[in-house]
Amino acid sequence: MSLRSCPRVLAALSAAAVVAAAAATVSLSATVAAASSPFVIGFANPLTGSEATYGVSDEHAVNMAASQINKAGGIDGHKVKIDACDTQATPAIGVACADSFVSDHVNAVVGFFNSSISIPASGILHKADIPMVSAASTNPTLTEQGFKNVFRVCGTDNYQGAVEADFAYKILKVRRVVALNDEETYGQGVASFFGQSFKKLGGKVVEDEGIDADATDFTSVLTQIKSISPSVQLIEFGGFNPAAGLLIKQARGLGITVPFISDDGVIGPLYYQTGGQSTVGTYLSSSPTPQNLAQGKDAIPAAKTFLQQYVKQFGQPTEYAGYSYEAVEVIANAAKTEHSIAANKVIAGLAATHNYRGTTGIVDFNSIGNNITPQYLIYKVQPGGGNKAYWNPNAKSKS
Amino acid sequence: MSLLRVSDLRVRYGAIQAVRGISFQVEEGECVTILGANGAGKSSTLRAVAGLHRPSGGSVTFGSQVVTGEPAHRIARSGISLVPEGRQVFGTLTIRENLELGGYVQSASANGEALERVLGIFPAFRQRLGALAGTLSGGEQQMLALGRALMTRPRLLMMDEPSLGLAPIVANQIFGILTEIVGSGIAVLLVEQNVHRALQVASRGYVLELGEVVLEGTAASLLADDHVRLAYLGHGMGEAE
Amino acid sequence: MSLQELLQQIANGLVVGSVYGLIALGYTMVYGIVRLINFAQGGLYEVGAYLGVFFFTLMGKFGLQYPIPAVLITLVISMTLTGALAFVVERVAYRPLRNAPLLAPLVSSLAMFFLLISVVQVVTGAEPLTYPSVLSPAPLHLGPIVLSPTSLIIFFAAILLMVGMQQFVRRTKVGKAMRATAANREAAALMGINTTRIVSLTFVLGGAMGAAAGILYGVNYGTVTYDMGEFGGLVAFTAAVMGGIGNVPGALVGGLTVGVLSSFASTFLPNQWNEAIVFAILILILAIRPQGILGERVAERA
Repeated sequence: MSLRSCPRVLAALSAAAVVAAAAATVSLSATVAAASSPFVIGFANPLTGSEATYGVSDEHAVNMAASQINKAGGIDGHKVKIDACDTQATPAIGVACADSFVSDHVNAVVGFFNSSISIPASGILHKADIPMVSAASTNPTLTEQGFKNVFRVCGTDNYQGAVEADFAYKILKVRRVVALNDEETYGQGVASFFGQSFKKLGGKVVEDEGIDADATDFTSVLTQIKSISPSVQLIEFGGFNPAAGLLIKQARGLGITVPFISDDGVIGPLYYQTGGQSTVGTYLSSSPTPQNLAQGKDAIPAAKTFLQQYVKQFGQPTEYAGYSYEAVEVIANAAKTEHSIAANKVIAGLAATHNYRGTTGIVDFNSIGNNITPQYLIYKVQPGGGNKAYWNPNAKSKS
Repeated sequence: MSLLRVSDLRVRYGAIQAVRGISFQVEEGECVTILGANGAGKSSTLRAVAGLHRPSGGSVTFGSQVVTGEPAHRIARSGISLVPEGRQVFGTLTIRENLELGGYVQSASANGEALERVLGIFPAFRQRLGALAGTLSGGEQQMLALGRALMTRPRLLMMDEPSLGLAPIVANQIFGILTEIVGSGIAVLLVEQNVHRALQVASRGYVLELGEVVLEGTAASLLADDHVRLAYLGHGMGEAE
Repeated sequence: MSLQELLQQIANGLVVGSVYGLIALGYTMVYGIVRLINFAQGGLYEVGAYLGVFFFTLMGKFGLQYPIPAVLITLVISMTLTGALAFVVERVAYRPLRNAPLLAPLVSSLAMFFLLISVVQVVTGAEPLTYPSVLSPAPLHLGPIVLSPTSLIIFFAAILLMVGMQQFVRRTKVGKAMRATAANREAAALMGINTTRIVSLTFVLGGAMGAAAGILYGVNYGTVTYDMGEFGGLVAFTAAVMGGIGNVPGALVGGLTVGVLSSFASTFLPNQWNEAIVFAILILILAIRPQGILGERVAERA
C-alpha cells in the first residue's frame, strides 16, 4: 500500500515545491524588478538524513557567498538568490530537484553532493543548458559524459591517485612500489591512477593486485610482497575500511615496515580501530578541510577569511563547505567576466576559468570541466589515531 | 515377589503390533527363556523391558519399582542389563574402555573390582585390554558384550540371541559361561534361536507366537511338549542332539 | 617461490587453519554423536565472536592494561553463553526432529544458522565491529618466519583448546561416554549413559569451541563482521570433512591442512578465489577420499 502511494506523494511534493518556488520568484521580481532580475542559483544537497551535517554546512557556505556578493553589488546589479533543494542523499529525490531547477529556470546550479545523484542530474541540466558546478562529487564519470555545462571545483578520485604518486615519488623518494586495490570502482580508480602517475614520474610498480574487500586475511598476498620486499619501498592501497586497517596491521605483523599510503575512503575512525598502532605513521590522501586550508605556512589567505567569517556565524564548517562557497564564487566570477547572466555565457565563462584564486586554492578548469589543480592533501596518522595534514601538493615550498 | 513382573505388555512399531499383551515373570536367580520363531516378538519384548522402545501398553515391574516407559539409562541403572542382538560393542573403543563403560554408573573403585571379576571370567581379554573392540572376532565380541553387561553388576541379565552367527564351538563356550552366571545367582532372561540349548540352561520357558504367549512351563515340560518338538526342535529330540 | 616465502606461507596457513580447526571441532563432534551436520555451528562461531567484542569492550581500560587475563575472561564468558545458546539450538532445532528423516534436522540446522546470522546483523547493524588492539604489533622473528605476537598466541591457544578437547574426549569418563554414544547410542544407553544429556553436552561443547574460535579470530584480525560466519562456517566444514568428519583429531588436521592449502592458493590466485578454492577442495575430497585424511579409525563390525 505504502509503496504504491509513494510516487503520488512524490508528485505532490514536487508540485508543491514548484508552486512555492514560483511564488518566491514572483514576489522577488515584484520588489527588485525595477533594477534587474535576480541571478538564481539552484543549490541541491542532503539537508536531512544521515549526511545532513555536510549538506547543512554547505548550505551555510553558499548563503554566505551569496550575501557577500550581493553586499558588493551583486553580478552587474543582479542579486544572487539561492534556491535550495533537499536531495536526502537519495538519487530519485535528487533528480526531482534537478527537474524543479529546470522548471524554475534557475541561472546556475551548485550541487549535487553525492556522485550517485550528480551524474543522473547532470543529464537533466545538460538538456536544459543550465551550468552546473559540483562542490563534492569526486567520481570521474561526472565530467566524462561530454556535457559542456558540467564543472567541479573539488578533485576527482583520479587526481587523488596522482597526488599520492607525487608524494611517494617526490617527498618519500621511493622508486619501487606495490599498488593494491579492493576491485571496486573507487579503489580501483585511485590505485590505477596512482600506478599510471607513478610510472610517468619514472617509478616502477612492481606489483599491481586486486584483493577481496570482504576478506579479512591478507597474509598471503603480503607474504608475497614481503618476499620481494628488499626492492619494494611503499605499499599503496585504493579502497575502504576495514580492509585498509587489516592490511596494514597484518603487514606490520609480518615485519613489513615500508611506508603505507591509502585514500579518503579510508580516512576516519574505523581505520585506527581496525589497524590500531600499526596505522600510526601511515599516509592518507584526502580533500583538505577548510581548517587545514587556513592553517600553517601554506595557508591560503582567502581560506583564512572564509573560515573566520564562517566560524563567527555557524561554528566549524565541514569538509566541503569551502568548495561550496567556491562554487558560488566561480559561477559569479564567470557571469561577471562575460557581463551576462545568460546560461550559455555563464558556461563559456566557467570554461574559461583559469588560475582563479579562491578559498580552496587555485581553480583551473580543463576542457571537460575538472579542476586540474589537485585538491588533495596528504595526511599522516598520529599516535592515538588523529590525522595531521602532512603535505600540500599546491604549496610551492620546496622539499 | 518376582524379580521381574511383566503384565499385559504391548509393543507397537507404527502400524505393526509386535507384542500383543504378554505376561511373564522371572524370579530372583532364575534363568527363564523366551522361545519363538523370527518375528514372534521376542526381541521386541526385551527391548521394551530394557527401555529401548516405549511399550504401548501394560506394565513392567522390577523388584518393587514400576519401570514401564522409563528411559533405557534409568532401567540400566536400576539393575537390568541387556546384551543386545548383534553384540553392539563400541567398535572404536578399546576392550578396556568397553568394559569400563559397563561400569559407567559405579565409582572408580567399584569399577576396578568389577573389572577384576570380569577378567576372571574372560581371562583372554587381560592381555588385550588396549585392542580396539572392532578388531575382535564375532565370538570375542559376544564375550566382550557379555563382560560389559556384567560390569554393571546386574540383578537381571537379558541376552538376545547370544549364539547368533557364531560357530558351534564358540556358542558352546558362551553357554558354558552363561551357566556359570546363572550359578552365581544372577537372574537371566534369555532369547535364543537354538531352543535346545536354551532349554538346557533355563529352568522355565515361554513360547511366543505372533506376539502372544501360547505356551509356558518348566524346561522339562516344554522339551516334552509335542508342539514345541514339532515347531522348534525339528522332528524330535534325537535329531537335535 | 623462495624457501623463506614457502615457510612463511605455511606459517600463515597454520595460524588461520588453527582457528578453522576449532570451528571444525564443533561440526565433527556433533556429527560423530548424532550423524548431523550442524550448520548452526557457523552462526555460533559468529555469535561467540560478537559476544567477545561486547565483553572485551566492556572491560575497557582493564582489558588494555591486562590483555591476557582480559582475553581469558572474555573467552570463558563468551564460551559459556554460546554453549548455552548451542544447548537451546539442540532443544529447538534438533531434538524435536531426532526421529524424523535425516533431511529434516539438516534443514532446521541450516535455518538456525541463518537465524543466528540475521539476529547478529539486526542487533549490531551491518557495520564491522572492532576488537581493541591490545598487543604490540611488533613482529616476532622465528628463524626465517615472521609472525605478530597475536597470531602466535592465537595459534597456540587454538591448538591448546583442540588438544585439550581431544584429551577430554579420550581420557575422561564423560568423554568416554561421548565416544560410546557416538559409536552406538543404544548400547551406550544400556550402560546407563544418559545419551540425551550427552547429545546436549556435545552441542554445548561444539558451540563453546566455535565461540573460542570466533574470539581468537576477532583478537587476531581485530574485526568481526556479521557475515563472518558464512565463510568461516564453510571453510571449517570443509576442514571437518577433510580431516574425516566425526573424527576429533581429524578436525585439527583438516583445519591446518585447509589453512595451508588456501594460503598457498591465494599466492597463485587472487584472493577473491578463496571461496571457490575452498569449494573445489571440498568437492575433491568428497570425490576422492570421502572418509577424509584420517577417516574412521576402524571399520565397525556390526
